[in-house]
Amino acid sequence: MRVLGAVTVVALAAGLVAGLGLAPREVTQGNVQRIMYLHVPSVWVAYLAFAVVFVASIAYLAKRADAADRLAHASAEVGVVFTGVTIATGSIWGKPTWGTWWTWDARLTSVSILFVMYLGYLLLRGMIDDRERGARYAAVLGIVAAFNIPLVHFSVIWWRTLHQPPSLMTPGPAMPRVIITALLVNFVAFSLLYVYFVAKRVHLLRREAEAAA
Amino acid sequence: MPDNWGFVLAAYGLAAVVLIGYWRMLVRQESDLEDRSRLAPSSGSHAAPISGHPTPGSQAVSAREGERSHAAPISGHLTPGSQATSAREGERSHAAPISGHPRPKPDSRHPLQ
Repeated sequence: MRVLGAVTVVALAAGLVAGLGLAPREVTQGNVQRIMYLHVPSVWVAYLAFAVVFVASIAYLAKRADAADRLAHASAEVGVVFTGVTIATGSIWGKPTWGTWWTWDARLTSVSILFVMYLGYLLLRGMIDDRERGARYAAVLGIVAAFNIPLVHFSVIWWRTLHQPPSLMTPGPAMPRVIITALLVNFVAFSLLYVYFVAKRVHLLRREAEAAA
Repeated sequence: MPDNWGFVLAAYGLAAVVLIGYWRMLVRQESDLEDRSRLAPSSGSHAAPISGHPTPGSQAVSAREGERSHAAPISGHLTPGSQATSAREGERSHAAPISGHPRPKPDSRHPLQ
């Protein structure tokens, strides 16, 4: 765990240097575009976290394995943290570029709904005293809530929105290599941070369960 | 377009606060769990023993892990075994007896032993 933590810190430092130092100033937005190196990896981790909740919830309902339930719980918690970071950094980015902190645009609204759904997922777990029943209800919600992920991702394509469409996976003029590299470094760093947080949270949940038994 | 470095710093600063805050919460929970698991073998409760003889196991485990015991005996007799373990690890238990026998120094033997 310590090695993973150390590697994550190094990767985050490299991501910071790449995003704030090595990547060039963007022509139309100026330096405020550097928020992208934080905002986009955050939402990637949120998607990843909720996809893990989806798979682990199915595994729990199929096999009733406590390990799958703990993984779903830990991943949902970390996903909520990263969704919060995504919304906050997006709002800060929106003010200088759109002229507003917030608008009820399809992307912003759908990601807010995603955030509230997983917040509800965590509250649901906390509300039910019977651990097994709470895990079962949470697993059902974890599966249902995951259907919001494609809605969030494709909202910028399906509806007319203020938010820009996906830049990486759509055909068109290629981004400069240095921008893609900086973004990839941050993707790796944030993914490592996700793995570190989830591993630590799963470990804590297992110890809590052992202490309660 | 102006550079808006203030917004960039605000975004990075806010993310740092949230992520470090979450990490600190996990670390705090972990240390709370460790404390609880250390105290758990003593008697199943966190109450201090009323009449002076702490459970040998709990004292020994606590001293072995380099932590002080919070269970202060009210009337003074510490189990010799626990003292010996504490002395072996070069640690002193801070559980001061409120009344009764003064505690021998960790490196000295009890006269009756």
